[in-house]
Amino acid sequence: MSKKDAQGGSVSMLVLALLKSQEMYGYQIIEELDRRSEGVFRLKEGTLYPVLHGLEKDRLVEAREAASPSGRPRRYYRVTARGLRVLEEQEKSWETYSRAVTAILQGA
Amino acid sequence: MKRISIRPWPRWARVTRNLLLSLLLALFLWASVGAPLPKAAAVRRFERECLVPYGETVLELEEGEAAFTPVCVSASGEAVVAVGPYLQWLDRLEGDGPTLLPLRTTIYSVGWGSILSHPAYMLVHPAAETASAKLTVHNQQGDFTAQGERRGEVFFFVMPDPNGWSSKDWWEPEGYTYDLTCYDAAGGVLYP
Amino acid sequence: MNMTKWKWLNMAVGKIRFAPDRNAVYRELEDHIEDHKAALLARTPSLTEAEAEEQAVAAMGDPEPLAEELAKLHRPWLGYLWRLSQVLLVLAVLALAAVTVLRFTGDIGTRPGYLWEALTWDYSEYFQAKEEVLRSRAVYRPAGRLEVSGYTVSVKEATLDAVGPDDPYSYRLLYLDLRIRPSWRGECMDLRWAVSSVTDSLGTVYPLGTDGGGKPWWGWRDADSWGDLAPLGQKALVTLWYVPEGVEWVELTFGSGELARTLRVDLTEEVEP
Repeated sequence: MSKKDAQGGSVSMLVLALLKSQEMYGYQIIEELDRRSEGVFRLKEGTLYPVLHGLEKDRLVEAREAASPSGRPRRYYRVTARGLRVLEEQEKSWETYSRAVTAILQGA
Repeated sequence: MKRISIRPWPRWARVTRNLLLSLLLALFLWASVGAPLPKAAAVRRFERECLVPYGETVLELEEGEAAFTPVCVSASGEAVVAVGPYLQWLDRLEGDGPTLLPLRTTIYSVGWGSILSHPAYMLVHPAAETASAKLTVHNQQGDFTAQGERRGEVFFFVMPDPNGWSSKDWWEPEGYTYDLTCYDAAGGVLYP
Repeated sequence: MNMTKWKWLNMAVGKIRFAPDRNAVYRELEDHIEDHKAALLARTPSLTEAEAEEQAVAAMGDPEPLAEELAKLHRPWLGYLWRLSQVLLVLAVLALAAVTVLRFTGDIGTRPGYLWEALTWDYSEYFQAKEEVLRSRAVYRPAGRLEVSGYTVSVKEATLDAVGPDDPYSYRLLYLDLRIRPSWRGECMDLRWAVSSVTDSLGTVYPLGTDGGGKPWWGWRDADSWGDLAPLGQKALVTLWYVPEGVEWVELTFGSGELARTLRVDLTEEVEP
């Protein structure tokens, strides 16, 4: 995994987790990330799309075009079964990691 | 793998489907124009259909030589077959010795400002020591002589233009008689 | 850096080579900018459209590294391959249409009319009995099939007719309804060439074709004279002319050399026609 991937790796985990709950389109993902993290995660918006398209290419999410309220067709993304499995693994390794960090910070 | 339903197929699936369909259609098209094959394969196919063992290519006439249709001639011990785009024929051989066969297609050449048409013959399975040969054909139109041109395993005789002719005089066994003389390298007569 | 929406978008997608993909990503990014612009206008009514657009574009970030990332993800080769496959399919369909038309006008291949004739061929129309007086007819169903070089040959029915006006002028014909299954390659025998000799129990030799003269000979005709139907097999009529009296069987020899095989057609057990 290259450096770029490692950085994008945590973003893609967050995006997958968001899409697990519901189908969302690009701008909506940015807003939701901001809202749920209470402002901690505010991505530079352009950088979302390489992550999304990469996930789509790896078949962790799938996209469909649907009409939006404004009339313009919009791309909605949602997680696939494969994506769910990958997300589970990533959540597990994140838990291991964060427990380890917490343990060290609190002194052992 | 789920879906196929209403969603459009993923791109790679569409590519595969298109290529497979194109291949199927191309196959059907090829078959409907008579399944043409390249020369060598066409000769083999004809040999299979005639139930004759595969032979070796002994003579190949290119476009412009034989009535503008390329002909490939193959000879085994049992038979001589010839295949071209618009013709095919088979001669079963009796015995092993040298056999003279008419080439059932016309050889064209240009001479004196007009197109000349020549009947031709092949001497297949000549004796090993044969270095040259001479053929004289007698038929209703007269007597014609030609020197044999060695092409691979056969001697090829291109008769002079008889100025109008019918296949009976040249291709039907009852229509002509011939004298064939074969010489060895030193000029001695091998046959008859 | 004050960039217009249009300029930012073109920079961001500029490195995607395959046009339909490039347009799709352009639309998606444009939609994003518009969504953000609408949200900004809703939140801060004092903003002008131009200012809102500027802010939305600025929030997208630097288009250059983005262009590199997107280009790496949206590689053109599958797109080009897809276009190629579409073109090939269209060409194949057009060629099929052209060949179908030419078949109906008879310029190429077997006309569909011929195909129908071949499938419904009734060879009895070739019987001499249609033109001369039929004195007697005997029908046989000889068993026996021949497997040679991947082909299977069998005689479905044999009809022995005596025709002619009067005794010294009557003669006998034997009609063999031949069925030939093609080889696995879909090739079918060319009877004229595949049959190397025809004889009978009395030792009569039947050459192929005749030059008149009332001597025995054999001929053939098939329903598919153009060869296109080879993969479906062949139906052929083999006719032996001037068959002498007292013949108990006839033999067709196919092929020569080590490929030669003989099919014997037994003419001793008559059946009801």
